[in-house]
Amino acid sequence: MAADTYASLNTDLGISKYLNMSFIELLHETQDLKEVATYFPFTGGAGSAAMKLRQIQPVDAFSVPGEDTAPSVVNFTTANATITVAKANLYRSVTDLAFITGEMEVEQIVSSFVKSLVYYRSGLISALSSGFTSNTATGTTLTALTVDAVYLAMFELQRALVPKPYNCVLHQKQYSEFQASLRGETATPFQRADSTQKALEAQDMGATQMEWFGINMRTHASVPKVNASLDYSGMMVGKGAIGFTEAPVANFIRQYAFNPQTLAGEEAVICQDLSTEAKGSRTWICHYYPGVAEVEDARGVQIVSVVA
Amino acid sequence: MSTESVFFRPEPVVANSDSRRNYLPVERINNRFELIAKPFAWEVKGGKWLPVLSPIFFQRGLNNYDDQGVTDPEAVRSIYRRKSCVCIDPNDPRLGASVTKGGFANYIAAVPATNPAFGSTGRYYLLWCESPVETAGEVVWRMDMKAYDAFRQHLVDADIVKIDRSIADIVISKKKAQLSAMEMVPMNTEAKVNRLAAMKAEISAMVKALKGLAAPKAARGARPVAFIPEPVIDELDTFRPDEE
Repeated sequence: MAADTYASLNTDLGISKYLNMSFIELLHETQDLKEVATYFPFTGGAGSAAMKLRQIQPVDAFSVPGEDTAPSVVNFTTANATITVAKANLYRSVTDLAFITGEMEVEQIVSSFVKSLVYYRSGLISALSSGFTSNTATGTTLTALTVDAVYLAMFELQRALVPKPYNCVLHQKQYSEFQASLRGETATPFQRADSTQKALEAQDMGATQMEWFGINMRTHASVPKVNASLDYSGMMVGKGAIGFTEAPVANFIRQYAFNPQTLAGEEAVICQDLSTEAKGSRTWICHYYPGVAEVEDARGVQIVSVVA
Repeated sequence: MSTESVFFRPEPVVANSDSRRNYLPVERINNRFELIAKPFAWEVKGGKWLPVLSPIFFQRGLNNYDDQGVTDPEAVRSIYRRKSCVCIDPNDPRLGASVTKGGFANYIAAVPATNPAFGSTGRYYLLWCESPVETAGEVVWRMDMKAYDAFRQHLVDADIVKIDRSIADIVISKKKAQLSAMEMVPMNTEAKVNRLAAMKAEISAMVKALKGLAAPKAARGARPVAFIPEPVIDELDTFRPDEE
């Protein structure tokens, strides 16, 4: 008789495959654009979902009316911006049997909420890129992005008095074109600076955070399409161009204790774990209350390049 | 009970309508948007000045769209109007009939879409003149540029957006500033050479198209204000001939 083999024994004595307990994440956008926007704390319980930001021009011209002449009163130049929070959420439901059999773990749900929240928030921020008006958009419609477009964006912000560092948010394709263009920038010693080398050597495109001449280069798949979906609209912004806030939920949870199983791991996130007894399932809801708005237009510039 | 006969016609059993529906695979299911015309975003095409249009998105939590508990497009539009942008309301009667009847009203359209990474489904908003085609998972984004340009020309003709000599001068001046920055760079790649040539051609076409433009006048959006130089008298007291 032939020897017992893995194949012959497998039907009764083995299983076709055993389960490796680790979860391998499929490809997804990992970049968090939170640092691109300026965070303004939201005051809960103040009577409104809208928060007004006060802006003031600190510099005014001195007058020289003469030694014995009273000067004219100079009024402050002021402006304001508003950020309104709105609810966003993600709702999952998993049966008890799925938990019992080990097919799903709570940690995966919570981890998924946090990553989805980052993706959502970053999408809100990148959606503002097409609205910058004061500074002339750089890049060219239906043309690949070049390092020149990034330089021109930097020049626009410098001319507008925007202090560095800047944040440049590009679609991954735009960023690849930027790197490709950098490869051609070998004619002058300046272009061989460390920053350029780092830009060319940057790895892990999904979470790029690379500094280049005082510009934090970032990528995000949510960069919107413009010009009838033919172009991507990236942006370069200084601090204060975009504001964001998150309505805090901790006080609300303490005050109302509406569900003893409520989790408040994050200051701005409510994850509710609700049991549906009749179905034998648990539902998990992540509530998030962000607000994103343009605060000062002149602090940002649009960067356009072709999609296809 | 009625004695009238009711006939039943057998139908082939197929997957339900949801699973048979075609969804356009997109990177991100977007939100409802409208177009705006920025005051100095213009291009010249076929000798005509056409506005370069940008989208503004309507999404809760973004730019105060969720205003006072209700969604309000005007809350978003007002942000851009303050910056001299013209918001092109798809319901503006000056756009004429609906796009389905040969006009340009209701220029925003939607197709059922999916983000293959998530498996999520929803609507993808686009312009009526876009027609994406999916083949084996890849999408070719087709665009009726003739219709799009006609739309942009209509915006000018109907006085919805305004171009005049002053605006054009500013646009050209901004382009020239970008050109002069480019001219300082060594032309060591074909992309740069082509880009420089394209920029020069673009400016040249703009200068040529200046001829047909009207002199500045008050209009919606950017409002040109003409300043007439006045002689400066007695502001400088360092030189007074009559006191010498």
